Amino acid sequence: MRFAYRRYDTPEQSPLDGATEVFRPEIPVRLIGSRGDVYVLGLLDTGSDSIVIGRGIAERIGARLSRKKLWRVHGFGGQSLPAVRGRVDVEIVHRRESLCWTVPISVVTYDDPDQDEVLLLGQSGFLPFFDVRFCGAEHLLEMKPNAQFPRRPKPL
Amino acid sequence: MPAKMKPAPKVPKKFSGQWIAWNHALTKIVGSGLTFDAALEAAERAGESKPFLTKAPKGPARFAGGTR
Repeated sequence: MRFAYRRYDTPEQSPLDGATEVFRPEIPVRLIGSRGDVYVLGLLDTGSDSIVIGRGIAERIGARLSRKKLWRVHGFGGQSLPAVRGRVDVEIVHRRESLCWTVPISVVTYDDPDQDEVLLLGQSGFLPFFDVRFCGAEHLLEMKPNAQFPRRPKPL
Repeated sequence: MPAKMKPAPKVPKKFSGQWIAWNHALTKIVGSGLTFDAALEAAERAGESKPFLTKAPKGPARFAGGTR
């Protein structure tokens, strides 16, 4: 599977390099819960220990949430957000290939809805199942399921 | 070196900080809004039943990932 990085114009130059656009290694995925599904772009984040989604999306699709297990997810710089554990099915559809499996997720509640992000595809439940190559100069990534991938039938 | 592939369309800066909805082929933006729901509804009004939702970076901010 090959995906082009998604490209975003930014209204101001980066103070680091003057760039006015950012490239993000995002891939299209379908998240499936008991009440429905959503199609979103997920950011491949090798620095994230888990898959992270906002509570709004999790509740919309009916993700299975465990309200007994509460903790805080910490980001760079030590900022933290309250989180609960959940499970959803995730599907990657790319041309004629479909990969679907059940993943554990960290469901976070944002203090400020304006800071809401979509989906981080991190280590637990996602990245260990793929061999991923980031081709920075070409702004594309290549990924293929490896022997650890938990294959299951395509969802309805 | 990987074979060339067509670059993704660029998201214009007018969408900075907004939720955006792509058509299912990821070739054009079919809706946007300040919330997930608003972008989704805009896409559905535009006739896209399976839009891909995402959020454009806001202002000069750069995402610094990594969570524990």
